[in-house]
Amino acid sequence: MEGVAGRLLRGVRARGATSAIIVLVALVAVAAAVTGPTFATAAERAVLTDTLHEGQPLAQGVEITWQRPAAGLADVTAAVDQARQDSGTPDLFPARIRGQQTSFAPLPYQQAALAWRDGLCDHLRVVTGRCPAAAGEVVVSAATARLDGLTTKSTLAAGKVPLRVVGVYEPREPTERYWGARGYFGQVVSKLQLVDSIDAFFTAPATFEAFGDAPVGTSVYLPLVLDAVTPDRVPALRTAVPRIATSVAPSGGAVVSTLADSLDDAGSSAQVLRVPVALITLQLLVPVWLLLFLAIGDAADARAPDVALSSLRGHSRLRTLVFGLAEPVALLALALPVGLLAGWAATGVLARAALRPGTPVTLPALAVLAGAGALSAGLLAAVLAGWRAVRRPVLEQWRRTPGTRHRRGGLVDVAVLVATAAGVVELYAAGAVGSASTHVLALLVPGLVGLGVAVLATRVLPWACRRAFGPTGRRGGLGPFLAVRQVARRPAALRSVLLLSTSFALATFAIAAWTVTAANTTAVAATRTGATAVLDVAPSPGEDLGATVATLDPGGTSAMAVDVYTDFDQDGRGTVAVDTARFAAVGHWRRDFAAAPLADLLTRLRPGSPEPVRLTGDRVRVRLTGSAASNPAVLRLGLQAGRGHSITPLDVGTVPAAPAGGTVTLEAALPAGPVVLRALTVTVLDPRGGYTPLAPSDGTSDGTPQGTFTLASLETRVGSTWTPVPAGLTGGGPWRITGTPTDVTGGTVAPGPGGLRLGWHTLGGQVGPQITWTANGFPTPLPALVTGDVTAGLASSGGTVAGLDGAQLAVAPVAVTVVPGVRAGGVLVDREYARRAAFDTTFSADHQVWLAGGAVADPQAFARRLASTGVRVLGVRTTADAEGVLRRQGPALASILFVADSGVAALLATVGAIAGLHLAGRRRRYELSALAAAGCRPRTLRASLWLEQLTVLASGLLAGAAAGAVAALLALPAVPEFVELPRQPALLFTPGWGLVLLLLAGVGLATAAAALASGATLVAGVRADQLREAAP
Amino acid sequence: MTAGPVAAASGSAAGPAVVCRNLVHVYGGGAAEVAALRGVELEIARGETLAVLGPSGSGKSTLLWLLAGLARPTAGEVHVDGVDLAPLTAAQLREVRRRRVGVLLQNPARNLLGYATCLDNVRFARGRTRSADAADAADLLDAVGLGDRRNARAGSLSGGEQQRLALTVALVNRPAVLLADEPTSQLDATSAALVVDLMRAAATDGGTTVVVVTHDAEVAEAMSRTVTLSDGRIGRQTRAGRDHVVVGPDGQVHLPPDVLGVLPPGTLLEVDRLPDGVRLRRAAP
Repeated sequence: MEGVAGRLLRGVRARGATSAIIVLVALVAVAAAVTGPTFATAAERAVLTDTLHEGQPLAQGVEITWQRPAAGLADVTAAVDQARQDSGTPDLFPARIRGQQTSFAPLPYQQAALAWRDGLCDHLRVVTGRCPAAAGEVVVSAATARLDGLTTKSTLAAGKVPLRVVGVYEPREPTERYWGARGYFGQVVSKLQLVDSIDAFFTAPATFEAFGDAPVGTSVYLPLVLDAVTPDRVPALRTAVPRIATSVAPSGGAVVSTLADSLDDAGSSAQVLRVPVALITLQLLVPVWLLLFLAIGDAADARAPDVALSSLRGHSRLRTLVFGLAEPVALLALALPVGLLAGWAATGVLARAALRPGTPVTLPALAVLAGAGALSAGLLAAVLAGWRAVRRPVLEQWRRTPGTRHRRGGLVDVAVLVATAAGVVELYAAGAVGSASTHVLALLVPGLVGLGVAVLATRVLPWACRRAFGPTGRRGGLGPFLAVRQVARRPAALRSVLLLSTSFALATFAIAAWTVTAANTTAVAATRTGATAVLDVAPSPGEDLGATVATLDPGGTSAMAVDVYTDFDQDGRGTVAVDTARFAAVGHWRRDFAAAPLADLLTRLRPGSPEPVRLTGDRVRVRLTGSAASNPAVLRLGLQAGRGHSITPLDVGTVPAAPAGGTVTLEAALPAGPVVLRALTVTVLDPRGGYTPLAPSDGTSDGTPQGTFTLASLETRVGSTWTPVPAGLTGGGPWRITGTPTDVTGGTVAPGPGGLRLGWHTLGGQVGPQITWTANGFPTPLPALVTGDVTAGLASSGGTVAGLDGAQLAVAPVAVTVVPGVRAGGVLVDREYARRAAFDTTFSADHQVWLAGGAVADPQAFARRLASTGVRVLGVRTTADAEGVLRRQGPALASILFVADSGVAALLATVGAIAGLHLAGRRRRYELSALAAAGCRPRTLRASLWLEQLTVLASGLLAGAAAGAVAALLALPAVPEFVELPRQPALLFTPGWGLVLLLLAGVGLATAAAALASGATLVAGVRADQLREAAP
Repeated sequence: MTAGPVAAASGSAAGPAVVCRNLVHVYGGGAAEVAALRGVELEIARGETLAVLGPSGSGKSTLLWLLAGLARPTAGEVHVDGVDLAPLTAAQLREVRRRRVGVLLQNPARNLLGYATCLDNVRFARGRTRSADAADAADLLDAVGLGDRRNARAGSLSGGEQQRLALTVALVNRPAVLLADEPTSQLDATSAALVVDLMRAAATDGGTTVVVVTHDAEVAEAMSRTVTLSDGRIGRQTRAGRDHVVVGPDGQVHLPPDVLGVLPPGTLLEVDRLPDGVRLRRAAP
């Protein structure tokens, strides 16, 4: 190639090593600058997609409901189609799933949904019979069929509409988006609206035509095409939901969607990524810029003879400047596209490792600008060096020793140190250092501290070497003698120390921060999940999940049934009810979660309690004996029979307070189905009846009417057989008197050989005072492990928390710092007692099976075993999954980027330092040859070079590592690790120093090996006949 | 190999090519001042070939750099091709070097871009890249016997070839004056002779005034005149085989070293005035 281009190429080739270094450093600078914005863009997309995919159906689409008696499907369809167009984003809502629903009572005490949806049969697995096609045909779930004894020959009625069971189904995926926000299946309950705890009966759309004006809800669910949502479409998507609402309002439709909240969450996570990425990229570019600046400056200085020649030939200053700049600028220009591609490729690798699979990695315009900006340092260096060379007289450029070398002033170092310290103080004041709260500016601390320490190192090292002049001059041989003098007097060595120190400070901090984030992520994930794996299940009503789990895991070491109630009125706190006998083996627990050992805590949770009094049959009979009273009165006896929260008061009968006969027997009809005896009441009436107040007693000193009687027996009838009920009447029963001993109206309870001795007292002058004895089969208050925020709220809540049914439950708190299985802390109780306290009404709670890691290798296999027992498994979650979600959030991604970028910068600084030392050694060939000719042995020369190189490299590496460690101690607590600060467990900030030291040791060894190889190569090339060459 | 490639392009046809009047140059400052030239008086005619001799440190190279405009005189005047260099700006001095002065340095590698081809070096010096210039440059290389090496890398040439190439580069813009600093010191005898012949051809055929700083007696003899710098002043001159001395500004005359053997310092001389000068002879005791 001829001409200017040919000359340029030949010049680059002639200075091959220097050119390669420039291209390499420039390429890395561009790649580092590109990686940040490119990764941030891809991460933003991934975070958005992740957030949408992890959301509930209402966060993944829009549900529109019509509550008219019967919204015409044609009208609804037209309204929805129009609404999709009006949304402005019809391509994001291409599908619609229509449905209609009403409710009916398959059995007197049940309520179930009757529904159809578009495409229903594709989402059901019909195990018996077929899918409904005609009006009046229904399919029933296998669980409901078992519970209610239904078959394909069964008939039911929804009001006046006859229904015929034509099939039995299992849902293919009960939690899939297809079902929208509707909880059709058992315990799959939307917290927004309660749905009956019976699986839905599905029918054909024609069935609803028979309902006439009866209430039938019509709904349409518009699922969002999740993977088509990109960050640039978010603004349009935000306006789409209100537009849909406006569009359907005239037809009576109402829109429900939490899509906006999801988009906000994704935006928050992305926001938390952008600023750290900018800070990280900027900090890492500084040492890379410096390296590029120095490399280009050196290269430009190396071309001084060429520039002098151009001046000598009388070329104009501009022409000479262009000539001098041509090579470095050409190299920079070459590095730009290569660096862009390298950065793009590197980001792709990083994205594949850290982001959601399939996340596209595009090169945004900002990244290209950043890449070009990264070369600005090199361009500046080239222009400055070139201008300097152009202005320097030709004769000066020919001098063998350069002109006055400007030593770096102490003032510059002081200024840098002061600026660094001021920066750290500013960050301290802003809360980014030594603070309990997070602050993104904490990410600047390692750069500031690293720079300060680096500047100090470049002062300390030559000072230390000068101190060694004397000792090395007296003993130790020529190797150390030469080495310390080279290090002390050569500015290039100190530049390497500066770059190494700064880069390794950043790298050490980044690795330390990553170890902290990784450990905290694992801890938070394990705490939130509760165990290694958790199966979300929907047992059918009446099914005892605990018993089923015990069947599958008789040893109690691998699985545990758990119920969790989330109190959204109390900031999402959870009541976690666990099997205390299995928790230690299965649940996640750390010693620092509580002051007391776990075994002690679990013992306190289950102090022992009498069983509840269960009544089964159609009638109940009580036998009273020994009734006596202080004055004439009539006792009306009542029983409170409960099914869940539904209490049926039973009026058992009326007896005189002191009956003539010794034994009185009373009966009452029981409500259908098994009930639990909740209380026994006695209403004391005046014998004159009506609203006559009770007369004061003449038989007591203070006139209070009072009496006693004995509940001798309690029986229920099944069929024609009366069976005694184990009610603890003679001892060990659950009987408590309500109220306090100082109440005006109250009673006593004392089990005895003859039965339960009940005493009552009241004031005269009252009308029908009632005394109640409760029969709770659980401790009151219930022992509970509670976290700090719950403890703080107990005073205002009267010592109560939400139970598994959402009702307030009195607890006896034991303080802990963490309750596993929930995000926001809460309460841990014994499951059996908690279920009794909720009277087995737990449809508002989530039902789970926790699996221990070591004992259950494959959660999916256990899930299949559980499903085979009839328990519906809704999903499988693992601690690893939760970790993965947290690791794909903004702060964790920023941490990964920091490690990757800082690692590259440190590697580049190391390679640059080794290359620089090697090239410097090559330039000293004449000196080494002279020493060899004077009799200096090769091993002495090697020792000198090794000592010199290792001193420089070790100084930079150790100073940087120390600076990074200091920065970590100062700033790690303030570095953001999560989008939202987890409420539990408490985050720990001790870095994994083992890993850090291991990596640094590895780098140190590799660096030392490279330095040894360099020294050996240099000495191997030394020959005495090189002295014949002209001295440099 | 043919000789004499380029005719000088002179800016001023009349007058000497080089004139130095009481030229003084001092390096350094304060206690470290060194006067390299102490009032040099010199005139060099157009087309003349001049060898500058003298011991190390006598100011030979300094004189050359002042003539090339690479340094500024501390005092006195220096005119090259009719241009007074002293008041010129740096840009004007560069222009002088580009059009009127060619420089050939001692180290062949310093005259050239070692990584560029011979052709490219010539074109680089010329500063133009038109295709016509490419052909012209090729002719120049042919003239110095490097026609077949035109595309060879300059760094791959032998020392002599490099110096011939450097001479071509120095003469490519047809300067009025060629300044050469010990151009043959690193060459073998044959190569040196070739270079000397090319310089003489440039003078005779091209009219270029050649000023050569040298320690080589054969190079000096090949030039039409020699001057000897001693202690910063022009001392002895040799022209057409005859020795000449210059009367300095203070009336001092430096005798050639061999004459000093006959009339050592301190010798009392009788001065006989003649119509065209003076005659000096040892005074009678």
